[in-house]
Amino acid sequence: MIWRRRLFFTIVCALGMAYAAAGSAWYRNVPEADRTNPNPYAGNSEAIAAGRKLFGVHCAQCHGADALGKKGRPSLRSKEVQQATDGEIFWLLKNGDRRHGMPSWSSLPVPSRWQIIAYIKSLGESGATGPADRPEGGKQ
Amino acid sequence: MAGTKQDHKTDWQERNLQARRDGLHPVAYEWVAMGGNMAFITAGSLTIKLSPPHEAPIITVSRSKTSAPQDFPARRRLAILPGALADFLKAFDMTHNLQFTTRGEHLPGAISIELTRIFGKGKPAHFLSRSLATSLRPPGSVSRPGWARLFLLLLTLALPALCRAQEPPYFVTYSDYMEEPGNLEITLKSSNGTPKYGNPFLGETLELEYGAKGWWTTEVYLAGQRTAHDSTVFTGWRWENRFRPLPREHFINPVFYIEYENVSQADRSLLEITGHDSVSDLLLSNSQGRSDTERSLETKLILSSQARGWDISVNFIAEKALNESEPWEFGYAVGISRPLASAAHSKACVFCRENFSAGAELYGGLGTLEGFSLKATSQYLAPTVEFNIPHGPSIGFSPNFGLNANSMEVLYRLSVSYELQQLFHRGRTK
Repeated sequence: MIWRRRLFFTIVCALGMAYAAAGSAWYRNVPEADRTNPNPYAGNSEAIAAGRKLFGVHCAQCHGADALGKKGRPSLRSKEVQQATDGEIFWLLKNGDRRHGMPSWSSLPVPSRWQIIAYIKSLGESGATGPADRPEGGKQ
Repeated sequence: MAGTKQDHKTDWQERNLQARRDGLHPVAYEWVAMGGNMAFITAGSLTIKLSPPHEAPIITVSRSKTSAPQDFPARRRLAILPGALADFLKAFDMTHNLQFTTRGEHLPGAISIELTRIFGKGKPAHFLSRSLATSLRPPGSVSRPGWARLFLLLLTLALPALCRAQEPPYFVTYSDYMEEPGNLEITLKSSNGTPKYGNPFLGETLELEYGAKGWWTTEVYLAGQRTAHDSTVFTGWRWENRFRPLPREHFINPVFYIEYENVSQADRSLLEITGHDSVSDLLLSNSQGRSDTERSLETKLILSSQARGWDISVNFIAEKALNESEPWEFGYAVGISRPLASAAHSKACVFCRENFSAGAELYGGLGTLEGFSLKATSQYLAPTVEFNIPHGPSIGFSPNFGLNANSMEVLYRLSVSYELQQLFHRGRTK
C-alpha cells in the first residue's frame, strides 16, 4: 500500500510540475517554425493604427488600455512580450493560454492579429513588468 | 358492416347535397400532419389532432393495414354542415379505409379543412405524443405581428451598449468559440414566424453566457413566446455547458456540449431541430403546449475549423427525453461564415466592412434512433449577417428558409448581444 501512495504522490507532483512549467512560459511551447513567422505589417503605421483600434476592442478589457496589465492580467509591455518574436506572439494569439485565462483569438482574421501585434510591438517596454517576464536567454 | 357504411355515406352525401341547396359553400380540408400516421387536420386556423386513442384527443384515428398514406387524395372539397364533423369523418373513413372516432365536436359552423399531402412512411412518428390546436382565427383575418417586431427592434436599440463579441454570426450552429474567462455575454434572441395554418409567434430567449474557464463556458437560457390570437407564456429554461478538451488550436477543434432542458412544447425558440420536430409542433396552442413539459438531456459534438478567414462549424446533436419514453433524437447544424474584411481599417469607423460578418447555416433533424432520416422533420437553410458595433452590441439577423414541407416557409431570427467584461474575475494569481 505504501508504494502505491508514493507512486500516486510522485505522479501528482510530476503532473503539477509539468503543468507549472508549461504554464509559466508559454513561449517554450511555440514550435520553431512559428517563431520565425514574419509580421507582414511590422512597422506599418497604418497597421499600427488599425492594431490600436483592435487592441481597444479585444485586448484592453484584460490587459488595460495602456497594455500595462490589469487586475492581475499580464502587461504586454513587459520584457517577456516585447522580446518575443512576432511569430511567437502570433502563436499565442492563435492558441491562447487557456489555463491562465488567455483565450484563443483564432476566430479573429489573420491580418487583424498581425495588426494587433504590430501595435503591441510599437509600444515598447515599460517600467511596469508583468508577472512572468521572460528570463534572459529565455528566447530560443 | 357494409350496409352500415353505405348508410353513413348516403347520409353524408345527402347532407352535403342539402348544404349546397342551402347555399353553404363547399369547403376543403387539408392534412398538415407528418409521419406514418396522420396527425393533424386543419379547420381554418384551428388544428385538430388525430392520434392514437390512449392520448384522448378530440378525434382519434387508426390506420388500417391496407391503407397507405400515399393513397390519400391530394385535395378534396366538401361541404360540412355545422355539427356534421362526425359524419364527415365517417364518410372519409369509408373512402380511405381510415377509422375515426370522435369524442366531441368543437368546430362550430361550416369549417374549412384542406388536404394536400401526407408525409412520411413506416412507423408512426413520435410527434403523435403532442396534442392539438391553435386558437381559432376568424376566416379572412390577418395577423399583424409587425408591432412585436418593431417593439423588439426598438428595445434592442435602446438597451445600453457594452462590447462586441468575436463569435461567428450563427443562430443555431455552435463554433469552437468559448466565452472569454470572466466575461458575461447577455444575448436576446428572437424567432418570428407564421407556421402554415397556425398563428404568428414571437419567441424570445434570454441567454446568459459566462466564461468560467478558458476551456469551460456555461450558459443559462430563459425562454418565452407570444403567439398572436393566443397568449404570452414562459416556456422554460436550459442550462448548457461547453467544454473544450484540447488546449491548443488544431485544424479541427472539438468542443463537447451538454445541456439540460426543462422546456414546454409551447417553446418557439427553435434553438435546434432534432428528431421529427416539424411545423406541426408549432400549431399547438399555448395552453396545450404548456401542459406538456419535456425534460431532456442534449449533447452536441461541435467540430470547428478556421481556414483562410472562414469559420466552418459542424454540430452533431443527440437529445434524450428524461421524462418520456422517447428514443434518442438526432439533429445537425452546419455553419460557414467570415468577416467581410479581414484587416481592420486604420481609422475609427462604425460601418467598416470589418464590423460585418456573414455566412450561412444549414440545420435540421435527423430522426430518431428508431428511424434515422432526413425526412419527416424540419430542414432550414439560413443566410446570416451580423453587425458588430465597435464598443457596442452585436446585432444579428437571419431569415431561415424551410427546405421541405415539414418546415416553416420562413422564420426570421434576430439577436442582440452585449458583453459585460471581466465580471467576477479575480485576476491571475500567478
